Amino acid sequence: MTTFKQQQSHSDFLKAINPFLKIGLSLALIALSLFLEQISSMLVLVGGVSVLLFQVKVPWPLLMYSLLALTVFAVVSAWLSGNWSQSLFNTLRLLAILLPAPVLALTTPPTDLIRSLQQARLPSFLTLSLTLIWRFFPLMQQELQRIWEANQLRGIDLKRQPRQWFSGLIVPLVFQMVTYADEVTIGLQTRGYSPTAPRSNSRPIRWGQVDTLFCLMALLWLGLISYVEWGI
Amino acid sequence: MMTRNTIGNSQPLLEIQDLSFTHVGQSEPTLEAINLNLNAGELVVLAGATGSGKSTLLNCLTGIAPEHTGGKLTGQVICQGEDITGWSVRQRSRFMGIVLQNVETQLFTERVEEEIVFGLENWNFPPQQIQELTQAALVEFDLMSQKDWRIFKLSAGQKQRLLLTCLLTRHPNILVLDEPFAFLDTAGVQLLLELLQQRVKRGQSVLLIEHRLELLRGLPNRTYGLEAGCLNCWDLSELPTPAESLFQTSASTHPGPRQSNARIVLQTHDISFGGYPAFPNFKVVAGDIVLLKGDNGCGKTTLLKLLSGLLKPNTGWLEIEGQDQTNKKVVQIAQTVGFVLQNPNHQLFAESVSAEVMQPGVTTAQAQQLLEQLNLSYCSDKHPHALSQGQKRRLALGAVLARQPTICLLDEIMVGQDATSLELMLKALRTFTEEGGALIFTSHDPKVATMLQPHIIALDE
Amino acid sequence: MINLNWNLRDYVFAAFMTIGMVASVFIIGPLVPPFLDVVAWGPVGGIFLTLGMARLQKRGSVALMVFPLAVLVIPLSPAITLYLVLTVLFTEAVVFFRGNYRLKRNRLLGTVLFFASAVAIGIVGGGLMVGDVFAELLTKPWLIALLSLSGAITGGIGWWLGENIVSQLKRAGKLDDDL
Repeated sequence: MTTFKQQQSHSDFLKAINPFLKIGLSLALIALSLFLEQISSMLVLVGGVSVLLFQVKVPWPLLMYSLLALTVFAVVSAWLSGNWSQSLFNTLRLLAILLPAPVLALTTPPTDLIRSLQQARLPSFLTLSLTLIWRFFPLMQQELQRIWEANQLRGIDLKRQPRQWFSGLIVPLVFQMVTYADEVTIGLQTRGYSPTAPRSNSRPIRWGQVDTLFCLMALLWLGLISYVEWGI
Repeated sequence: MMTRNTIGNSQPLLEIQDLSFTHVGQSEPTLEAINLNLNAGELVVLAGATGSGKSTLLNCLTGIAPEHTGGKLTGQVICQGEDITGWSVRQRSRFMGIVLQNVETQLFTERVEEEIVFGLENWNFPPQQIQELTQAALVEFDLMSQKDWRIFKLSAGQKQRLLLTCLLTRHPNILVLDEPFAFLDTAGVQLLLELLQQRVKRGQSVLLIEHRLELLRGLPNRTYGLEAGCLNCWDLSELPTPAESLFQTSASTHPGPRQSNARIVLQTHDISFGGYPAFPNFKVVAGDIVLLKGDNGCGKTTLLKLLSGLLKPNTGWLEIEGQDQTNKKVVQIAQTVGFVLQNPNHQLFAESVSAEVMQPGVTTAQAQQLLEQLNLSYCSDKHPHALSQGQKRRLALGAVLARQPTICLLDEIMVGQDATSLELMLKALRTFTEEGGALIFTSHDPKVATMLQPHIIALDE
Repeated sequence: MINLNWNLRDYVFAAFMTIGMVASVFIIGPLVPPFLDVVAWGPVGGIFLTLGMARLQKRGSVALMVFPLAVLVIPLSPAITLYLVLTVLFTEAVVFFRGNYRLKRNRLLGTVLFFASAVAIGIVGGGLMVGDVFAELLTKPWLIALLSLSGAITGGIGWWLGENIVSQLKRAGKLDDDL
């Protein structure tokens, strides 16, 4: 109890940016990708996102799964349409739609996102729900693991007996979740939370120099894409 | 049934007057005409077996009952002269720091400092004051260097200390704690006791629900025992000292086979795991009863998990019925080893109590007999999750014994059993060992050791 | 009589059901091809949707569970957010005229509509945005109908399993809506 384990996270340029700016850029890139028709401009867009991707630690299994799914998509669409360049373009467009947001999401600490949503005066239940999902998702994963182990102790290997999933895994998990939900409601009240009472925000997200810099860089990037596409 | 225990003081912080509570669907009250005062600068302890109503009393006091549980409450709860009986949990938490058993459900953010800020923001403190109070709390509780640490990775004790930090930031007059020592190791217990003593010296009141009274010797101003819904004053000096308990006096720490020709069912060879010191080598023979002894955090549960195959040792190996278990899967080991977990909720899968025991290969007569042995036959049609925690533990034990394992592992399952149920549970275990089964268990309850007379394996020596 | 105001208990319960839905997406998602994930999600996602409807009962229950999910995925994919919002609005709009989620048949309707519309909106949205294979699908309405029907069926299985758990929770005294 006396010694907490050290778990500092390093911060970088992208982490310091206002979450709304990142979401805005993400939306702008997706919208732009829908209007692009040149493969070169699409390459500038996707290339830029790929550069950003290097700033982020993407879990290996997710990266491999995404690459596999993308390859399957590209090959299947090329095979169906018989047009390889069109298929490449569509694959790039799919990347342009799917990639910007996760890149930006992985550089946004959840607390910052929740604080910015709170600041945007969204209904309090939304920020509460996000807080709870973020906090208790790992705990429910832990519960799932323990229930899985309890099945093994009874001689049931769920990997080989999917018919047991419902009674052996889902039902006990739901019972745990319902119990947790009741206790968390009480826990929130003991901490003074009320969805109807006013809450202060001690750390409002403010505009900083890094945000200005980010805006300039984003505008340059979007301008370059437009120039390559339309020459303007 | 009426008991009056009003301690005289001109201005108590909290008064409970003639409080009775009846749970939903019951005709008899769980609490009846409880009277209790809590004065400034006092540490008061409420003890009693599970089912005696001490958690219900805490619920009534904090507003959890009837708001969240339903039921009928009569009488009054008065705080500094004001009747707060109808107040919500949130209203009461303005002046009452409430620490529930599972602190996981009272922490909501990602990092230490954010958690302190979260509570203050909930009360709509001005941002400047939040910063000041947070910094003061971080300094007072020596958390300054840990303010950015992630809560998910903290130990149970660390989380509890963080929660106390959060609650005490607002200097509540009263602290109410529900079995706060349950998941703490010796160092953690000591730290918490020091913190509570400091608070009492500062004039705050502490109400502690706790059954491990041996930890509190000499500390409380008053101790009450709840028995059948009534409050009685207890004298802690009459309790046996830890040295008198059988944990300290019984048998050798490294048991050998009881009979030279007895069949060895389990043998460990230099097993170690994680950061724990290497576990002692030991042999268990058919019919043995073995208690794993040691403080919280010394590796008792880990050793049980190693024996069941849920964990694989970093070094050494394990032999069950003469066979090396190194390459065996949990499901294979489960054919000979049964394991009843600390939390029975993970281990109940069926839709009725009887179906839980009626597993493949178990006859109706066997199931019925087990349920009767464990005093569960009267509720055989009930849903397992409708049972009390103590009943669930007995049912989880029944479900394991029904499969007739060679070795049965129990992790603190005797908690929460009243005297009769505990006796039935131990009797069933005795029958199991008399028929040749081997039992390895952990328990903090000296009564269990007295009744089972186990061999003891000390893990913290 | 149903209390029309949401309270803290409702919000927390809905959030836990959302956790269940998210967890099931994580488990099911990688096991199936992208265009079949909603169909495959139905039997498990439907369980949590049904549980939420059975406990919350009021109109807007589905929105209470799915809107946070939609907000959660904004940074991940605004397109998915839009698709979830549309799906919820469609489901809630239809159930609005049927009353609330107190009745089993309305919960069935809600679950079936949610998954069927999720498939249909997903394919149409994907077709309009990505083109190519998805755009090909737009020219085959029978295929969209078939996939939506599959979504409805798997969602229905989720409802059936969900109702099984609802009855177990009630028997165990864990789903008391009005204390």
